[in-house]
Amino acid sequence: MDFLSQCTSGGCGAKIGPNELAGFLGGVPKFSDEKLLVDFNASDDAAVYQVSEDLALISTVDFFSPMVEDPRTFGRIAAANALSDVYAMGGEVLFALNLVCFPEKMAKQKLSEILIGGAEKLKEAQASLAGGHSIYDHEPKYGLAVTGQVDPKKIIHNNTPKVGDILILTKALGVGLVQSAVRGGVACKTSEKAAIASMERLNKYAAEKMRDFPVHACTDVTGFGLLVHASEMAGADVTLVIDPEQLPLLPHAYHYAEEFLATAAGQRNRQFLETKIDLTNTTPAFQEILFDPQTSGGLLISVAANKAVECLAAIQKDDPVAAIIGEVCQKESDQSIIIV
Amino acid sequence: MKKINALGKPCPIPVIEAKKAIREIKNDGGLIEITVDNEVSVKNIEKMATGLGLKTTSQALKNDEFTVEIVVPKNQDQLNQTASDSELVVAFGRKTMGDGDPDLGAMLLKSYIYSLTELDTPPEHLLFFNSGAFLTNQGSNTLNDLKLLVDKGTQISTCGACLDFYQIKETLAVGEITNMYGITEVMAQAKKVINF
Repeated sequence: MDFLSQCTSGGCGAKIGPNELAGFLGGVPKFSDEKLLVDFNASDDAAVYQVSEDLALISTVDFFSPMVEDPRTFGRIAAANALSDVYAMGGEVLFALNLVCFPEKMAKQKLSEILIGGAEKLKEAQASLAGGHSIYDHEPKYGLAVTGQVDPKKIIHNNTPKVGDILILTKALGVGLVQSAVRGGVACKTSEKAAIASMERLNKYAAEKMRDFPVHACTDVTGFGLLVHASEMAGADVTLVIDPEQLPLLPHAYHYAEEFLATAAGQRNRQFLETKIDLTNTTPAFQEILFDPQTSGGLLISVAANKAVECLAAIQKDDPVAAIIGEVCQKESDQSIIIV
Repeated sequence: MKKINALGKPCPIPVIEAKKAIREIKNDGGLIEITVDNEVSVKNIEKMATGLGLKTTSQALKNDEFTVEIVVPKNQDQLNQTASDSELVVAFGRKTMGDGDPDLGAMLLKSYIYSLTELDTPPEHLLFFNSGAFLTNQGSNTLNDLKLLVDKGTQISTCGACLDFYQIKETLAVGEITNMYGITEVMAQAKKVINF
């Protein structure tokens, strides 16, 4: 039984579209107490619950079906992706629980490989694996429920950028396009390898660096693609100006975008934003890249302008592809994002 | 005139702000003046504007204060037209033009590169590889024209492996070093490639 071919769609590309999701969540009855500092109303990356004056718990869960052929690689990617929300909020990871769905007829060796891959990344993150839950399913799926901690005064929200801030993106875009080229059998090895290395990469290192700088907002770029995550960051009050030519890209991602190797999830992201953004001057290829779903993508960081160069240099020590991609401006022409 | 103060803004923010201003006024046309505090930003803004087919003039006011003026024509279609014309890449895989006498070939190529400087819109990128790598090296008789093209916003890249092979890396005199991946990317993304 083949690992990848069992799956209808893998990685963050399988996310339910942002439009649909907002619709489903609308009717959900709500209860929360005042200790829940961040709930899903804020469309923030994780929930934050205050335990004491200087301690809050961060709780987040992420899982998906495979997007790569090698089970162990899949495990590493799923873990890096699940841990990311904690890093995006400025927190530290404490422990995690495995979530597993696995076909009864598939070789169990593959399951053990997935779990080894996940545990490798937890070890790198210095987080304990505390248990988990597994069920039989038609498709393999894997992810983690992750608990982290943060000082409530130091929580970094995803929607509080300040006018004048500089935007830094820490990983290259194009993961969805490259994966789509791989599935179509037209990807070159260089881009496939670069995409896998990028997806496996923990956001821990960039997050540790950003703590030393006046970061006003941060989010991790995942299934909704750069633009939808950026529009969440902009909220109602500011306009993010982004220059596609500054974006770090995976090798050949632009070429695959030109060949329209785009994913269904990319199209869902486009439908969500299309009427709210002016893309008339943006090449079709850059449009695909801006909407491309990123499995385990990088951090989008909004940092004070006078410290931006230092912050970038610190991040680039371990994540050399990080780049300045734009800035935060006063709200303009009712647009949350302007692509120049 | 639309004035932008980009003093103290890190690269590539001045370029991004200039692009934003061009986008805002391109229906009506007009002038944009952007003030920056370093020469790299000046060059980057000029490159960007040339890429869009726009004319620029720059001025050094003080040691750490420069202005770049960008002329944005009224007609947007015209702007796009020039933009597509400018996406020209010329690849030099040899140091002569055509087959035959090498001295004649060298003379023809020198004259060709001079002619490139006379184009209304200079090429976007020149690539040099194999014996073409000698053209961007000290002693090349086209250096002045190549430097003029750089000033007009043309990017010049020479194959690093070729410089190593001919052992002339230390004497590269203009442009940047690239690799096969860079060359492939530039060619793949160009509207038009001329090969020598």
